[in-house]
Amino acid sequence: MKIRFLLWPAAFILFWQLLYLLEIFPPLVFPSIWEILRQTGADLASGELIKGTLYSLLVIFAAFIPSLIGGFLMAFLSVKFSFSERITETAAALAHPLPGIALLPILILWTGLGIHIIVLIVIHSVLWPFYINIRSGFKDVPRLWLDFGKNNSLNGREEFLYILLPAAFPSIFAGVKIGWARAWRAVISAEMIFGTIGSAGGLGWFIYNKRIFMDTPGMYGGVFFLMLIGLVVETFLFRKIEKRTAIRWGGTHVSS
Amino acid sequence: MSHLKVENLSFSYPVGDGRHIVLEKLDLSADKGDFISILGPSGCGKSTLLRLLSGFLRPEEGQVTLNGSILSSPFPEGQMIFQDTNQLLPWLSVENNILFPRFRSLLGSAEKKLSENDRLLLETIMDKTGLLSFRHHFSAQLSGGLKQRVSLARAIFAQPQILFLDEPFVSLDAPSRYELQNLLLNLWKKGGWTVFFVTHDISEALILSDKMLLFTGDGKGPLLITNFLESPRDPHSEQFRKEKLRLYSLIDSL
Amino acid sequence: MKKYLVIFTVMITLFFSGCTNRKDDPTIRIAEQFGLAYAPLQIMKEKKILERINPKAKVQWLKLGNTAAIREAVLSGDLDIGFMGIPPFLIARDKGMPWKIATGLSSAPLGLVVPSGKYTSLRDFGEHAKIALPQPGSIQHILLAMACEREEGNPALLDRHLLSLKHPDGMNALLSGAVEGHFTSPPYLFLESDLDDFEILISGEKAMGEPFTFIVGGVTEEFYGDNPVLYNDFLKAVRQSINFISENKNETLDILSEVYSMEKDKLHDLLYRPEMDFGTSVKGLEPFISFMHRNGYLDQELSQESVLF
Repeated sequence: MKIRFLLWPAAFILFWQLLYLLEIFPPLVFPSIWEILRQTGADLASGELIKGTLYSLLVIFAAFIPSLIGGFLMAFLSVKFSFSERITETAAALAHPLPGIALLPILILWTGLGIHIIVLIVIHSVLWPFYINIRSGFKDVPRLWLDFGKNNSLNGREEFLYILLPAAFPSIFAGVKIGWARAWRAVISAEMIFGTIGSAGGLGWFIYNKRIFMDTPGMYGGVFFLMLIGLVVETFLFRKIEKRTAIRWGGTHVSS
Repeated sequence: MSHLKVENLSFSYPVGDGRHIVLEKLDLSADKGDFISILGPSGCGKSTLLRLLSGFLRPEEGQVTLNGSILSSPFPEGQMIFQDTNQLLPWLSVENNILFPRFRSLLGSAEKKLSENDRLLLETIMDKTGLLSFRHHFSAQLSGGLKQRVSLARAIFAQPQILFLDEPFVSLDAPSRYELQNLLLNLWKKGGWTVFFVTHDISEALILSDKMLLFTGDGKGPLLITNFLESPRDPHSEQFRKEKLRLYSLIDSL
Repeated sequence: MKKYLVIFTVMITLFFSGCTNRKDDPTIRIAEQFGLAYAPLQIMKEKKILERINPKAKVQWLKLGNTAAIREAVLSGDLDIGFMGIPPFLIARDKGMPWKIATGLSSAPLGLVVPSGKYTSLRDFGEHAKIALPQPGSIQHILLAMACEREEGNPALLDRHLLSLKHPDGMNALLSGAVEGHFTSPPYLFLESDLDDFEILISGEKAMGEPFTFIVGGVTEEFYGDNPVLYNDFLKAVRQSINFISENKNETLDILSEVYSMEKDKLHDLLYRPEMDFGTSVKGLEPFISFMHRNGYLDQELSQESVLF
């Protein structure tokens, strides 16, 4: 496990450096690993990279909270009431495939310009997977467990807390994982299209600026840093949680 | 002393334009400590009757009363054990599954808050059902037989008056099935619960129960048959075979 | 496992090197771009002007998203010639990209469009007012910073207010009141300032203090060295295309109205305004270089010779 964890990055670095040494691409678009490391170090030291990352994380966090609440509410209502299910299902079917960026002009028109635009785009990109996973999590709870709850006279609150919620957890968690990946994609692409030049910006804006000013090593540094965050969160957070939950419970939602 | 009473019970479900009648004007009473098998071919309404008795289904006509009061919903004093081995909650350990019906809000800290009596009861039940070494296992790690043992232990720890068992051993291999039948019989002898046991296996019904409610499929409703075989009942004895054949012919003749 | 990695590497290497192999026929690859200021390129493509000058030449037109993509395509050897504003060209040259300006293409009015009667100077923008422009380091961004330096003595005066938006989004934002200003170029500048509710607060020319070329064409030193004949044919084609626009108005409008899917009357009005000046001269190089160097956009103070062929 530990070795495999290091093997792929190592192979990747070797492969990169090999391509660099073969001089297939001009160094201006394909710098050496050392240049990338040096520039990334400088960007870390100046705080630019950290600030951008924290900024993007803040945006994602600000979008996650309302999305989770909204997803839960919509899922809960659609499990309880069929008319509400029709509305949310239609909304999800219409909105889910729509890339958040396509909403940009409408969002600007309706809500004006500002950082909230990026938050809204991220909300759009995580709300639907949340809703869909939470809903299917609730809907797929085996009747057997609900019957067991009824047999022991669980009230509505207890049924929700002690049966529905843990039973739906693997599916909800899969939704959070999908949401996390989508949120990064949305935040990066939104920041690249829509950025504030003078003031603070996120990691996407950082990468975009590096590209515009042709600081190619810095640009790759930003991209690799982004991948590193994904890797760390996946390995040290998601995997751990899954080991304690879905995998131990023999759940069917381990993948995705 | 009759404590579960069925009076004038009817039930049907829609099929196409008409209705398929499962039960019509059934009367039945069970005394405390009765072991009653509900026996018959698949699809004859055995499970429907069990769900009516346990309050999961409401009768169309008639009523089910428990100690004089009319049943309208499932109740913890009547613990249901299902055929499906996935009835345990997979996110809880074996021990917590057993504690759940009575101590669901304390799980995690239940150990500290359990009274001396309950702790003793838990240990005894886990010991009797052979689960002591699986206390911290999760259901995904258990075999089908073990899972049903936990379901049994869970139902017993809830301190029920009645056990409703819906073909609980049907998916198990023969040895585990035999083992669990004996375990159930031994526990029942000491626990004294009223047991309703759904099965389509005549031998199983003959081994376990004193009374059998035989669904024959003729629409007239089940026959109540008393099992006069003396326990322990040996399936290889001449008497047992005769009794088995008699029950077969009862079903076949119709 | 290791064996597969080696095979994989070799295959990838072969694959990529295959892409960049030079062919014997003289090939020229040009980025096709939309926008009024690039009109001569569209004419050159549709009328096959370069092919007529040099029948042996293989002319390839590539569509690319933006300035950065064009520069990267030039660097990776997929493109010989890229057109863009002077500042993004200089940024690339400064970073060591081996290319120089071969020709100018057009001069056009640029400017900061604001709601009419609301602003008299650059100082008037309120704390939360926003100004939209395409991207940092673009000619619009540099001109606005120049204006701030010239008028108020502080090139970073409006930096806090700047918002990066594509031209159409910026126009929407301005019209809907989401931003207070839009530093832009034709046709958006014309479309916005033609409206009674909007006016130009400061023009690009005023910001710079002298006329300047909007779009220039950069050519790699490699192409220049390897294909001197084709290089000259290309310059000739640019001049012929520019002449074509002023001499054959009707056909020009036919071609461009099709490409831009725009009505001919409207296009005529936008394309033939006197401020739209197509020509090959390169003006304003020196002021851009010195300003950008002074303000940290360029590391070196580039000399004219290092920038122009």
